[in-house]
Amino acid sequence: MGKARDLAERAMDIFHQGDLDELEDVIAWDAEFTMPGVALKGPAQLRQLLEGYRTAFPDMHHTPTNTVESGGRFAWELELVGTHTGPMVTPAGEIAPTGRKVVWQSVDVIDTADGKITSWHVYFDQVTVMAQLGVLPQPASA
Amino acid sequence: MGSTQRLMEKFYDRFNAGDFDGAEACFQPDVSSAEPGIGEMEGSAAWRAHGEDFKRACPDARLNLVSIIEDGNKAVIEGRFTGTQTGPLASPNGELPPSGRKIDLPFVEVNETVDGRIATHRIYYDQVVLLTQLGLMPAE
Repeated sequence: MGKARDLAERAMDIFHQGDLDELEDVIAWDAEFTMPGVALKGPAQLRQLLEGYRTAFPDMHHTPTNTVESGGRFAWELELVGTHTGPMVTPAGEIAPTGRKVVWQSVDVIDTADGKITSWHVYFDQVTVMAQLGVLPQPASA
Repeated sequence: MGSTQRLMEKFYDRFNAGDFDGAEACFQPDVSSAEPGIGEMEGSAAWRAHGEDFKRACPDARLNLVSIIEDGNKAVIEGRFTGTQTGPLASPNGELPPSGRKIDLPFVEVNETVDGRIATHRIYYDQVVLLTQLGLMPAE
């Protein structure tokens, strides 16, 4: 098991345990983080995003289903499960708790250097999540 | 450069050129594919029909390789799909007329190769980005 994978697993453990102060130990100060609708820099901004997820889905859990690693780069496919019991902040506005259990898949592509994560790209389909929450925006009339 | 990178560059090059015989030859005949909004597709012919739908909708469609992580016969590829929807696009809600809109969609592919061809092929992207760019979802 390589160092990039260790760092990704540590970041995930920190999220699951909620000790978000420790993010600074694994995320470089200028790390670039992207996911649909979101582009952040550094551990403080990432912490805010992750706190938002922990508020919206307090029981949220990630399970890796596939991993690849080469040099300082690592990627995994994840299955995410969470119950939406808190308000969820999205780029399109806040979604009140629905109480629904949501399951979705994502891929994280992680770059590391000098023992820290320097880039973290998250790919997933927001439609899959919104459909399960019952908050899918109506299609614009063509 | 790893062998999967060479294979992916060939696949994207053939797709970009509209050479679907060449693109399909990069896949095992029994390849299993998956994509948001489509679900599972079994076999290279099913993938090809889907790819041809997109090329009809966007004749200038391009798959662009951004980065690749290769690990044995497994790989994760970050890419961007670009194109202009100047043709009709098949969708679960019926055919969308040409919109003239430009698409620039980040995606990731998770592959496994067998004997130098793609054997499994899972695509991840955000349909909100795609639908917004096509004018089918209100911009945020």
